[in-house]
Amino acid sequence: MANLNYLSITEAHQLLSTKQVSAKELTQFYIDKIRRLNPKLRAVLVVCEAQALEQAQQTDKKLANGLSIGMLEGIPYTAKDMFMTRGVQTTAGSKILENYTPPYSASVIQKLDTAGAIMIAKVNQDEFAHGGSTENSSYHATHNPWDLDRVPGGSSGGSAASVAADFGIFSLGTDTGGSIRQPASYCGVTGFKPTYGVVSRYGVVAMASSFDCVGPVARSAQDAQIVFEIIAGKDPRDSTTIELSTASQGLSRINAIFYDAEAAGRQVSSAVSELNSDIVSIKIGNDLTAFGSTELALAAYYVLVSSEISSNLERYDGVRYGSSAKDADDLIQTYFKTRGEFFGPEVKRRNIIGTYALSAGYYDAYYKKAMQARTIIKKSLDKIFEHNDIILTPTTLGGAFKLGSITDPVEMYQTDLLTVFANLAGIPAISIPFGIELSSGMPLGLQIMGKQGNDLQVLNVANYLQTITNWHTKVSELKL
Amino acid sequence: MSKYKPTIGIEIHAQLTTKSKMFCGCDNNSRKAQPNVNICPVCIALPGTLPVANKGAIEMAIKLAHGLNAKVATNTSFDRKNYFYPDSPKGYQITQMDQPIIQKGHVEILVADQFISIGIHHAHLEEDAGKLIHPEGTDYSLVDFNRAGTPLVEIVSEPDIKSTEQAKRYLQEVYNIVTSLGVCDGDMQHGNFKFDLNVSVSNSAELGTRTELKNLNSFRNAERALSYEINRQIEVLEGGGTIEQETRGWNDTKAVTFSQRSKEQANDYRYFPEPDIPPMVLSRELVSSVQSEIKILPINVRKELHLLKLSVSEQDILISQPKTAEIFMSAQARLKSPELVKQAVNWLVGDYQAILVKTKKPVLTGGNLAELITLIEDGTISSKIAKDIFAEVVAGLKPTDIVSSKGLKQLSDNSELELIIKKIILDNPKPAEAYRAGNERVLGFFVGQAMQATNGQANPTKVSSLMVKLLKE
Repeated sequence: MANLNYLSITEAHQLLSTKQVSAKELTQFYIDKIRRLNPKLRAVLVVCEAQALEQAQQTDKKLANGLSIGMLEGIPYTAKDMFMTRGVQTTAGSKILENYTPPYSASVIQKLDTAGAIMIAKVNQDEFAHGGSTENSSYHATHNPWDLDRVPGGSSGGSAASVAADFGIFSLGTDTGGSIRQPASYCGVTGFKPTYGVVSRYGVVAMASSFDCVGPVARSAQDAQIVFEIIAGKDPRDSTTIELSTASQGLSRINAIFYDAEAAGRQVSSAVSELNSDIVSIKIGNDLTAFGSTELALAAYYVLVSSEISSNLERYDGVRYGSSAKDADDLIQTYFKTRGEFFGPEVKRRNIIGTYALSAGYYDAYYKKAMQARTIIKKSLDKIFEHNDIILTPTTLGGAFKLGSITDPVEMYQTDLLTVFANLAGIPAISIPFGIELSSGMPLGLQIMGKQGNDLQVLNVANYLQTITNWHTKVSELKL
Repeated sequence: MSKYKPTIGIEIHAQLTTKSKMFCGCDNNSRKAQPNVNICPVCIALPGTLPVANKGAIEMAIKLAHGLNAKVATNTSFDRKNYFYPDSPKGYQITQMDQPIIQKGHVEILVADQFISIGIHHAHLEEDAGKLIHPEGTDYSLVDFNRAGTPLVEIVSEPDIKSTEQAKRYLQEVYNIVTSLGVCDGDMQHGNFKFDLNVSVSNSAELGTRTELKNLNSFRNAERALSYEINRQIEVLEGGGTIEQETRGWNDTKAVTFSQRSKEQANDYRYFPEPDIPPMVLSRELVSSVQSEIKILPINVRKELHLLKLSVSEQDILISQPKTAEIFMSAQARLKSPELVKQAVNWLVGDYQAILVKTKKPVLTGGNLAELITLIEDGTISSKIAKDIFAEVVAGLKPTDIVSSKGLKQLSDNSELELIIKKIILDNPKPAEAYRAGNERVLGFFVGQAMQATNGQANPTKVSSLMVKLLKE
């Protein structure tokens, strides 16, 4: 049998199409690998073996009948536990949804299903996506495949770790303030956050509705694009969706500007300075103040996101579904005990921040101010985009940190410093591996942000950079 | 007469008659449904679900704006009102706070023979909650989510209402508007049209502290609750007390209002813009195309009827039946004089009502009614014939067609009538003798005989004068 380790989507598709491997064999290969290595990595929450194998059989039947298959047909993938998956437990990493099995699937899961992709596992995350390390999962922390003592990042830590460890060929994640890009950077994989609204949120547990984006984590920008084009587009069930713009976003001549951040992994900026390309010309920006203000952005982000969180979590009340306190005497006790017992500390913290920010008398001082700050950030980015197609930054301020090393929540919030801008402005952004941190040997990411709607341009630039560099192939050298 | 004057503002909640719910595709009619049948992942707020605004509800609001003499907002958006309660599956209600779909307007009401205008502050769309059921003798409650997500429009008046009577007239007039536009079925028993009354009293130019009477669903109770509450407030003030700003309920059996919740206990609803539904821009084209479907408004009918000097309660009969009002308006446009228009009213509040009780689908048109009245007026048929054929007219036949196909044209030809009358006199010598002897009462008998002999087709006035002439010969 062919070597099945670290296949790209196109490689796997080629093997399937030429019958060098059956979909069943491929699926079984990944499931076996998860069974063998997940006890170390703890990226997976549940394996969907029976369903996955049944689906694989259908692909094999098609192939046996001499029919051709689509690019994603028979391709095993993992999905963050934020996605509703019909008949498969969906917890959002929270005890309040322990054993919750949804009666319907998210629109994106349905699209992947229709395309024939095979979901083999639901993967770990910070509870309700609140966090940047996956340590906030109510079940267990996930480890970084590059160094098991380190975090995979978060909140889509299970997605990034599962792709880096080759538990699936790609993964589906969500990104509210960097939750796809930051773990992708920490795990040395590619993670794409599309323009807000280009991918449906229907059936995705809501964190902060006006920020949440669904996107792929993959081994390359090319793979990310294949998945993205399948899941993108208007959904009648999500009023905020828009069609993906397919207007020419080619690579004729790209003007990019790189902003370094203090304390950020120097290796990213040196990797960028080594680039020599006629197609992408890179200027060096002065400093991050061009983005408006990093402090303002982070503060506005946490006020707005927490406000929306406090409202979006109200449905978890122990009345209709999910966990419910057994020893409550009356209605108010049902609320207090259910939410007290089954929400984790970070979820409670954001609930309290958001409830406070929306309260009568504080609304103007917090929520409204934060909305104004959001507008300022958008305008600042627009201004940079007047003269540039692409904005580049390191994705994070450094490589993945050690498990348990950050206990101060505000310090944890700082890990989103460079990623929240794209969510505040609703623009597309991707993180691709771009250097190794000398002190730790951990991977670092380059963030590529584009104008609203220019998703394909961002992907094209990322893909181009991956054709002239090989940082993204480093992950295959991992030995777990 | 009290020196205290009341000031009243009213919030009306009308359930919209859309096919599906406000934010999902579930059936909006659960009148006969078992509990929790008309529900889906969206309206019971399963994780991951999102609301999609119902276009039909938006169009109904656009129609209502016309009825309330109000502008439709070009930019409208939804907000979240957050509160925990088991009947609220999302933990928040989607409503409109910042940019309601219906802006300032007014409703004209007729009180003491004067039209006065009550301002509309705004009206907005929102969703209803589920229903809590408390089975007797148990220590638990049940929730029925069939109603969760039902579209409502909340119509908020200005505090322009100065008396209990005005309040009642305002409520009735808004009721007439929503039912005649067909945006609400007006079923008050099931709470499809209910209201909260804000009332304060003052003996100076400054407004007093108000209380809110919540959840009333009959005009009579609105009147009673308001009278009680106004008197209660006056008594408190006269006794040197102060009015607490609070929410009060109405106890129908005891006929009193009672305190439910003080201002301090009021919820902080933490309103903020609904991020799942983008703000909407309503084009002028959409507004005018939706509003062009509206034929008549209750106020147009009322003004016509008022000109005819009909009493308010007579007006209400017509106005309360939007279809009848529509027939009236179309008939009156075709009739020449106020006398004839009044006849149209008589037909509609008289014979027509009697037929309505029995007929499921009346197809009376204003044109046919006007034609019938004109046929009587020009002497083509007698009013008796008109009464006889009215049921057929209501069934959709054209009066002129009925008259010609049945040969019901009135007999007005003198020589023909004379022959018939002469024969009747000859056949009845004794009454004829009595008449000639001065007993004029027998004339009725002779006219009756003539009408009978002509199957009612004789012109009664003519018969009467000919009869007198021939009897005296």
